[in-house]
Amino acid sequence: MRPGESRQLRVAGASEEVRELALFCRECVDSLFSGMDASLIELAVVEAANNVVKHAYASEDDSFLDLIVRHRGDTLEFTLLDNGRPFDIESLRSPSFEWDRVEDVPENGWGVFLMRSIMDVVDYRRNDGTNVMKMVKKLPEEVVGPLLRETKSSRLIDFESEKCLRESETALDEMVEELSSAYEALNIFYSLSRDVALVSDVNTFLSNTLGKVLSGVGGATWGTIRFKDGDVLTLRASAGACPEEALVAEKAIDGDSPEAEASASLKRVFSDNYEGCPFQVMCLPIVGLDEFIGTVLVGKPPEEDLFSAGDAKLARAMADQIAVSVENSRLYSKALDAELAERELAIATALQKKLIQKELPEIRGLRFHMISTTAKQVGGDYATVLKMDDDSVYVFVSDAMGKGMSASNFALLSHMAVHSIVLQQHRRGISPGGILSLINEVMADDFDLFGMFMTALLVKIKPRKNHLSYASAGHCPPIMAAPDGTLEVLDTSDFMLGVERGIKYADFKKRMPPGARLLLYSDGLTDVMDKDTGEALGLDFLLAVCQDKLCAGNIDTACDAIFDAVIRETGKPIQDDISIVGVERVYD
Amino acid sequence: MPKVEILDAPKRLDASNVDAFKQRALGVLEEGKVIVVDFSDTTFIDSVGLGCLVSLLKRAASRDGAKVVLCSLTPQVTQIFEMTRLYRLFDVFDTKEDVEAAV
Repeated sequence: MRPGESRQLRVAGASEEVRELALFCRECVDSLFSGMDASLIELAVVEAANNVVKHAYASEDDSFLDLIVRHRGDTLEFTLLDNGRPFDIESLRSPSFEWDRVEDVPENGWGVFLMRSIMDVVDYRRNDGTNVMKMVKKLPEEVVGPLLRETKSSRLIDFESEKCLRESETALDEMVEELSSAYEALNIFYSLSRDVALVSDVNTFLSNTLGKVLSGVGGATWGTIRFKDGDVLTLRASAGACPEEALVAEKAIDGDSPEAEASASLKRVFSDNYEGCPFQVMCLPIVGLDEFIGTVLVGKPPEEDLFSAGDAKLARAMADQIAVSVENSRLYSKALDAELAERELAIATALQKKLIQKELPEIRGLRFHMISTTAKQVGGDYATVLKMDDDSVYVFVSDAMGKGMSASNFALLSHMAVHSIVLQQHRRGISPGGILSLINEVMADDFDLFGMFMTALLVKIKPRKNHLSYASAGHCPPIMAAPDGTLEVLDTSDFMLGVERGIKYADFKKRMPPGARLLLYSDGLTDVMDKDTGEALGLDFLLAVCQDKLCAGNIDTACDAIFDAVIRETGKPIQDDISIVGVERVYD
Repeated sequence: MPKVEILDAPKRLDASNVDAFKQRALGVLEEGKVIVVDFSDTTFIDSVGLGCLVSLLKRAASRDGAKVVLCSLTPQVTQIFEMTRLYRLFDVFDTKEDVEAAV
């Protein structure tokens, strides 16, 4: 582990799961401690975990045990979290050593004694219904030594490592704050994207948006949105008790980049009134496709608390969201005017590409590859891979009916819904079927409004358990290759999202041992036409291709080869979006 | 000449397999034999494993002819016996051959 790094694993609160935690702990400490010390640390973590399983849980089904290992300064910190019964702090006493006879030797209580002997700090507290057991171990001199010398010899590294330290210290607090503000933000985003699909008039949309920004950013009392219009920024919307300076209709642009312009306009507007507390007002550039669109200004009275870093992040994200929505709506109005020129299509496609995940998560035991192509028009495919901890990753693919703006807006909604729901529900141990049911509920109104349907497939993989579970809402059935190359089309059933409220989606389970591969895809891959007959090639053709290619090379080359083979067969440009997500359970 | 039976301790003697080990050992003690627990493969023992050994020792003390001795401790196991000072309680031998010679 590197300084500032943090890793975590969740297992169920059962005695047979403790060994899993032990192995994970061992992976974290092996590079930092000698073999003997690493064994002792493993022992201390096992003792703490055994304690939880024995005392905190009788046999509850939804029990969990989280181990978080953090490299913090010159120490390694081990935090165990569980939702079981409170721990009896008195039992942290060590057994007596004053025994002369064999009969007096205690058979229990050695665990706590060992934890105390091995670790430098052992601390237990109860926090909001969660038991928090924290153990700290000082790193060996030979590991800390080089680190310290590096920080002395270079100011840059000094800054970096201090930053790491600060970051890890505030990471937990931030996580809590982020979760609640992320949820709020997602709700707002969600209604924003819905608005842009409904309101073709940009000004009305902007006023609505500004109202939502104000309600989302902590304590903000006023705001403006300006759009670039030639060489000036023109006021397009305002809300709340704006200071006079902020309401000037036109302002010259004089920054040479969006960020510079935002900062310049901040200075121009507020150099007199807000001197000394610049964070009482935030100015965010709205940047479309490499193009500066305008600015969002949000403020509150100087006597209020300063805007927090979380507020800034939220405002930044909202400005980005406005950019996407505005570009979309500009394109939309042009489409209505039948002026859908090539360039605009390219913009829409590129905007949708912004949604394509650029970095797939790294997780031990798994390798991912994603291919996402949009057809000539923007479409409704969406795919994402979400890592929750070192043994939980979700893969989601969805396909909204049709092409064009409404499909692409539903891809955006799908993005919002799956991220917010998985983030919110993962800790509660909800199944993929439960998550799909929730997405169906959350988006029900929008499906009705647009008469839209969407297929979706959600897979949750636990690589350490060689296990996956999945649920499907009418999506193309995933193809699985066993380590020996045998292909299987996995069971799927159930209605598309948007067909009916209150549907409970069923869960399926499957083993995924090392060597196994999984292919998720959208119907673009099976609907491509045969170049001679003009008929859809279908699943049988895809299976024949997979027979040859799914197990060849690594998953990246395998997916690319499958994609190429299918495209070659059609002999012309693709008509529909095609998304492919390949997952390989690599050998540990 | 006391009867001796060698029991190989598992690679990891912990909460997950201690019950099976204890049942085997108790069976041997009931027959009034000396148990030699061979730790040559064991690289991990937790407090539940230690508690089991203490409990076997107590059982042996209450039965004629029964005894528990340990041999071939790996460095990892030795370290934990020293830390808990339990090495004071047990007869510990370097190898199985040493046990046989002594018995």
